[in-house]
Amino acid sequence: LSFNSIFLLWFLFVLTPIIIKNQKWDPNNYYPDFSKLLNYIFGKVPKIKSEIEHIVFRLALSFAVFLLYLSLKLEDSDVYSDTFLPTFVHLLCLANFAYIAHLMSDELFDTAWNSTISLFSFFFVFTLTSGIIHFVLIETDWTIIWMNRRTLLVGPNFISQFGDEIWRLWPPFYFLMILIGAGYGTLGEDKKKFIVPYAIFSLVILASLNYNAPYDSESKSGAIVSGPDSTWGTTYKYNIFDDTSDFPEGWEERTFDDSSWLSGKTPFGNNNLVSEEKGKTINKRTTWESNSTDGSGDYLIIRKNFTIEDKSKILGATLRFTYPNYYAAYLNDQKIGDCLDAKSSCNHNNPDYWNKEVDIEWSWLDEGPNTLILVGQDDLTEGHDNITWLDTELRLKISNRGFDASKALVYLSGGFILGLVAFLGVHNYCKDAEEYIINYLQTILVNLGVISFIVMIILLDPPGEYEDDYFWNSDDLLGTGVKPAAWGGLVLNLIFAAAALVVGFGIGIALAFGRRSNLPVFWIPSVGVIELIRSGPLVAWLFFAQILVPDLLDPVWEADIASRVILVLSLFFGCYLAEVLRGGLQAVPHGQYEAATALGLSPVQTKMQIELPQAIRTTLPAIVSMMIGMLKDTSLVFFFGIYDAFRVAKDLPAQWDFIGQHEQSLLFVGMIFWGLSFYLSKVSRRIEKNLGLTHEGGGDVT
Amino acid sequence: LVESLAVILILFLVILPFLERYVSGQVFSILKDITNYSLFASIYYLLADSFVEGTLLNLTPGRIQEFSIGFNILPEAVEPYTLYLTSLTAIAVATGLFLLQSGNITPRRYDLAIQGLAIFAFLPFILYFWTHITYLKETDSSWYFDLTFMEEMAGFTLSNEWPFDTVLQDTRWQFYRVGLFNAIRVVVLSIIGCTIIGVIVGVSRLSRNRLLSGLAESYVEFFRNMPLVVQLFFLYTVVLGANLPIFQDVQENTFFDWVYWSNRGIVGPGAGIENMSYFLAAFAIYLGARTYIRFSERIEHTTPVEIPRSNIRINANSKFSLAVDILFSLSILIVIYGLFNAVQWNYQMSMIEGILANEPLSMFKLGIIMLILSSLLRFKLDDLGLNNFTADDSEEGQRKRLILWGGTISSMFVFFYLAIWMEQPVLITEENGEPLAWGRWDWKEGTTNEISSVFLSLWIGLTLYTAAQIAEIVRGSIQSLPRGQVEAAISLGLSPYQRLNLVILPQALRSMIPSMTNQYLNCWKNSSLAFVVGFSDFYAVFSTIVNNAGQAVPVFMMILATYQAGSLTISAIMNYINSNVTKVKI
Repeated sequence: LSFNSIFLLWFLFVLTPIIIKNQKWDPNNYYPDFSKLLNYIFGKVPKIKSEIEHIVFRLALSFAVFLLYLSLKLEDSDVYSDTFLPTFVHLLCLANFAYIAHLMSDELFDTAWNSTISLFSFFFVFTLTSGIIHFVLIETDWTIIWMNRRTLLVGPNFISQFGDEIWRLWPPFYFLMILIGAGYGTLGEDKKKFIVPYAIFSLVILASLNYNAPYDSESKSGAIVSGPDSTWGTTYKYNIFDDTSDFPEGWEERTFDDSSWLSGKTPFGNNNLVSEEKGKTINKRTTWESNSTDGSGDYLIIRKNFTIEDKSKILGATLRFTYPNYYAAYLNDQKIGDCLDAKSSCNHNNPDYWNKEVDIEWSWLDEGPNTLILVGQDDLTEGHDNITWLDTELRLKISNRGFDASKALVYLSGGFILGLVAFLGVHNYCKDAEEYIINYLQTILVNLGVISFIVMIILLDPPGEYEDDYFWNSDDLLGTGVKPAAWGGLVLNLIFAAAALVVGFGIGIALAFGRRSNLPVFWIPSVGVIELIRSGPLVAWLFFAQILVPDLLDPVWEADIASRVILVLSLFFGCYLAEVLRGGLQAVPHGQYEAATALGLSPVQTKMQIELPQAIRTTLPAIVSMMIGMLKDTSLVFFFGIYDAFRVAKDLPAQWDFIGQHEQSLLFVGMIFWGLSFYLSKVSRRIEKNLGLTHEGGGDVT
Repeated sequence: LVESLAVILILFLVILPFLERYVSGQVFSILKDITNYSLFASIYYLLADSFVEGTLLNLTPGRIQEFSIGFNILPEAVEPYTLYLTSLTAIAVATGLFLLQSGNITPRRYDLAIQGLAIFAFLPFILYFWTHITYLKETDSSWYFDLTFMEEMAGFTLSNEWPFDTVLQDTRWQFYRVGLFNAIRVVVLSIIGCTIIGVIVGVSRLSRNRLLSGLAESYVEFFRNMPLVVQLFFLYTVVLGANLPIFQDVQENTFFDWVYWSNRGIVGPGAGIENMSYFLAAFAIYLGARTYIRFSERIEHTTPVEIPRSNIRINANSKFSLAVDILFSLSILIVIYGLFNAVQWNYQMSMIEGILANEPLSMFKLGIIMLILSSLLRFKLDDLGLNNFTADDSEEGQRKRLILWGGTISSMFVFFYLAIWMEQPVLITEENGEPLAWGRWDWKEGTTNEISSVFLSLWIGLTLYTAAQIAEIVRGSIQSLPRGQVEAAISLGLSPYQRLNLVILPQALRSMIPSMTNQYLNCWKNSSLAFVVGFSDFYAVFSTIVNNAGQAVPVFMMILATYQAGSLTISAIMNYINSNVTKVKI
């Protein structure tokens, strides 16, 4: 299907009939227009009622899309791409679409103008759909997402730096599932409406967790790393010798006893090579020099024992090392790099010589203890200042095949089942309950939500790390936790959005009432704050949070960046919410206020129990759309050194194995935000409908 | 202690509703009151505690030079004083609130008391911020409030600049100006683009044709629910970065050697004015045709017109309005002459600078003054009802109009063709006969007009995103029209296009404009995301300035002031349009 063929169809069956009709020719020889054409082709096929909700309709549509996928897949495959099969399936798919067009021809092809629009819209839709199907299902390798799913979810710091701290997220997840289930249960709707989408969602998530990537490797782990500072890097055993003749017997064998050798961290090298990089001070390198020497041509041997727990998971390894002069490397008595004897390839003018990367075969590695031995000589030609340095890195290729997801699977399905149980229980209870009981239950659920949020924060970063006299010394119970600055991923976006929503709602209500107040002490500051915050974009305020808030709050509260972002987000949300609520408050009839006053309610009671609920009711759609906006806006924090989901997605293509794969990571994270926002807007539309807030105008007839 | 008290009280508050059944009402309400107010006091204490401490610390001798209070607060006294002062304040505020809630008090006194209590409760925070900002102003260089740093050399370069040029030695003001114009340029273009696309998509969403409405709806849902920053970054790295051809192949990607495109952007032909008289003549023809049409269609006034709030009556006829129209046209011609005569094209000097530097008392200023005066006169005539028109809708009248406008536009084209020179872009690929590496290829100065890919991605991203919002507004406004309007239009026999153009959109416009204003303001504020794609708007320029000048507070204030000024301008323009649209009451 090309643009030309569509244009031809349009020319033949839309334009030509008009021209012929205008010529007032013999009406018996009337040239067919598009709907007639379809009628000729499909006239014999029984025509069902043309409603898009009809089951035949949906079946035909799904079948057509499936055929489209099949044709694209066949075209892509090695075996069938040269045969007539892809073309045949493609034509079949088009015929299917034509049948759908025939079913809808009263609607799509009744006038010439309408036919034109339909034909060209169809071309656009078809091209777009096939493009998306081809990109998502055939062309693209989604390995980058699969490999980094945990990073996308919780950021890079939950796993590497602090050990595995993911368990801290399971209890909040359970809470969340219970709350969602119970919340839907209170609505008292048809059970199917919740259970079917919920089951599909859970099964998809569980299936995707159980999915094993059909490739062996990509994931690498540094078994030995010579790091840039004292906190990183591996501790070696090393010794320095004057000459090869000083080497002890059997130094290259794994059985050699090196307990009397020195131990320390690499890199070894020049004292003067101290630099600052990204705020980290690199420690001075150890200058190496033997005791009895003229300072040149010294040899350094380093030995490192390491263990491989399960060799079946290892696919192989690479050894990278940088060394300028005679060197050799041994792994388990196997010589894997040899330049101790002068050879032509060992010339230091050869660029490959400086940064060696040697592939290590799987058979050289042992299950259990392994030994890596490196030897090198100080540079003779570059002077005698011992600037020779040795960086080494042994990276193991770990297989992902047979990744054990059973634990996570059990946890996850437990959460889903809990949600289901909560739904069923609450639904059963609320089915026949009075409305006030349901309202009471919903209030409790909202409060529980806030409490579980606080519990989650405490669980993630337990208090009492710095102060011993804290009332709750939780070091033993919950561990040290993860600092807010190390949170990340989608969870962080959700934390930001939730916290800003709760705090911002409070601020918004206070500012809305403040702005409407007659008392100058309240309205002057309220107007000032609202107008000030609304005058700038959110990035400007995040800039404020990053640079100026620490100055301003320094002696009072040493806020980390996450708290500052929450502060600014909630202020920002609150000010916009205040404006929305003000509109709602203005719409509350004055009689309500008078009646409340006549009943003897205090001003606070009048505001909180009479005016506010009515204002929220009318402005709910606007509030939800603002919530969606804020959820999307949390992706802006990436600029301020926070690893939120967008920042992670932005940085993923920098990984060595996935260089430049921006499409996948950006689309994926974009679609996650899209899904959340879309879901929220659907919920909002449903609430709107339930509250009777939609106005039916003349839209349908225009 | 206070923290644990607060936690216990919160827990107690949670279980309190369950107690309601077991205790009598009076006891319950007392319990509830005690819990509530002591919880309030303890939370207030927790909040105010460190602020009071900070204030006292700032008041210790030697910390702030500016203050000379009559007494000394020694550093050792800070801690006990904090405890006493904060707990006293907390108890006082809680008690005050309790008395206010329960006491018999007239509304007037209640108002006074609650204001006093609010000031008292906020005092620790206000005092803290006051003293601390004073302290910061004295000690921290980023809080110095002066703008002298803006006159220093900026020390960096910008990649996208038009119409101004910057060099390394320019002051920071110059860079700010460039950034401001970059932002204005992209926002104005985005507003135009998003209005056009938004109206089309919004109307399409209501189409009877399900394919079209489905397409429009998916467009809206896709762009509305995706974060703008993801969209921009995706556009920049994938759509324009990875899919456009690389610069090496730029010679193959061309439209008849006039337009070239690559991942560095789009390069069009260089252009300028060759002959000023022809150029002016083209505009003169248009303005003349407009004046003639207005003259011929104006409704003749027969009765004298009274000028409001005065007793002056004038015998106005259409000659008066004609004179104002001619004045208006003339002033526009003078403005164009002054503008384009002053600008030396080929980017030797920037447009605005050229006007200000070369001809301080030029025709341009005269033209602007005339334009303002004639516009004011026109508005006055509009108000007096002297500019009411009628259109001849008969077939002959339509034909006449068609001929007039056809002739005008075609002769304008001829004159523009005569007036303007154009030159194909020339790519320099060799130097002194030696071929250059493609990384050093460049376009010959003066033969090109370039649109950089960063500008394109920001512009497209902002346009598509805002268009989705505007489409929703358009749809909502149309849907909220009374059904009868459309039905009346149908029964009058209007065609679908006439229905849309004459009945639906003019009425929908009234409810559309306030929400559209909001979206335009959002577009203006969202332009701050330029840094995502590396476009130098003033926010990006300022973040660089903060890094190398360090004065964060004045910079931040300038950012806010600039955004506020832009917002006010957009609001003012849209309010003017709104007042015009809603002038006729229906």
